[in-house]
Amino acid sequence: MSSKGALLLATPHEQIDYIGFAKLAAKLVKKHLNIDTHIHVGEAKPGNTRAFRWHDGSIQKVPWYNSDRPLAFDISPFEQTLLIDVDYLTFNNNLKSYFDNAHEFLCYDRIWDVTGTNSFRNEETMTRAGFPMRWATVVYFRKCELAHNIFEMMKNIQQNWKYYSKFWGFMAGKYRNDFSLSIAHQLQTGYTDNINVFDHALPSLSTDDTIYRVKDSTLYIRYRYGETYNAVRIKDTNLHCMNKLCLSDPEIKGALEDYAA
Amino acid sequence: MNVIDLEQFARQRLDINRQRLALKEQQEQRLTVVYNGGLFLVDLVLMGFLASWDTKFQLYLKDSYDNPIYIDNVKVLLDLCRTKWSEVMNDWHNQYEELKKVRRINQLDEQ
Repeated sequence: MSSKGALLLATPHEQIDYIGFAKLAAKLVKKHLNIDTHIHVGEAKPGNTRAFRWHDGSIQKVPWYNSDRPLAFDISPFEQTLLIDVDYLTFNNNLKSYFDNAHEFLCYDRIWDVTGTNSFRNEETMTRAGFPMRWATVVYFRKCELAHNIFEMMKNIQQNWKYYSKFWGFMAGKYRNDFSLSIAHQLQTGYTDNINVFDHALPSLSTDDTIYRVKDSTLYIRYRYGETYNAVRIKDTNLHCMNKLCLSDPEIKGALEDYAA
Repeated sequence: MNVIDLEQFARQRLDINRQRLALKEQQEQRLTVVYNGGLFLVDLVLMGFLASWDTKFQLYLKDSYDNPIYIDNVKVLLDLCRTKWSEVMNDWHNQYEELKKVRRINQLDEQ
């Protein structure tokens, strides 16, 4: 049996506790998938910045350290790797089904806004011309030629970001792994790829919406609904929580830590 | 949010339709089984087909990734599907029944 585990890439950050998130995400993986985890702490290389608009209306502009993801193939100590974002919270064992099968590389090609408000409608495609989007949030790969080629391609795209942005027709403002993966994934499979993707959508929560309560594996989510707010409850559902501000809330973080323990 | 906003939020009428759709999506994502290296979506068509298959014939099925998978024991796969179906539909039904009683957001916490 080959080694399998989850790889989390975190970088020390002045304002956002990515390493703390990674530890929490790793505990949740261990609890539900029962596989090894490896947290790689990368170097904070300045360059990219990102502005987050949080659920309380505040806007936070922070350095964005996202340059290590193309190195995941080289970094991973596992034969079969589940590469996950540190803000991806695992609440069930669905992803375990993909290990020990014939899959070589899998990522998400669809996103599901758990609030049902379609917050990601502008990100369904990568460009206005409709180039299909792939999400780098959760990636399964084996140490195989296809995965190696995809990650090598991502490195090339990262190094020649402006060229690729002009060629594909997107804004070159900041390097983005989702775009890099989208291009690499298509190039390595001859633009015909609808196989190397997960068979369900990526459950996600936008930065505008927030988790306001955690009770065991149930998350209570408040979302903006026109001028007012509404709520939705999800249970035993994995979640890509883009709202790092709510994950930093001591009450929410504490409840998640208690659950993960 | 200040205290007044929080009170208003708690008293707000729950958008039951969005909640119902969220419940549907989260339960449907669970309706899969793994068999002999293949990943299958559990639905009524698959279960009906397996139940009616004459086991004296060999069976190969396309999985969710269009790979042909040899089904060496139809009964085992059918049992897996039935177990998963019952587990998910039972959870779905229980949560749906709870939600039917919810009118205001603060009642979500009471279930």
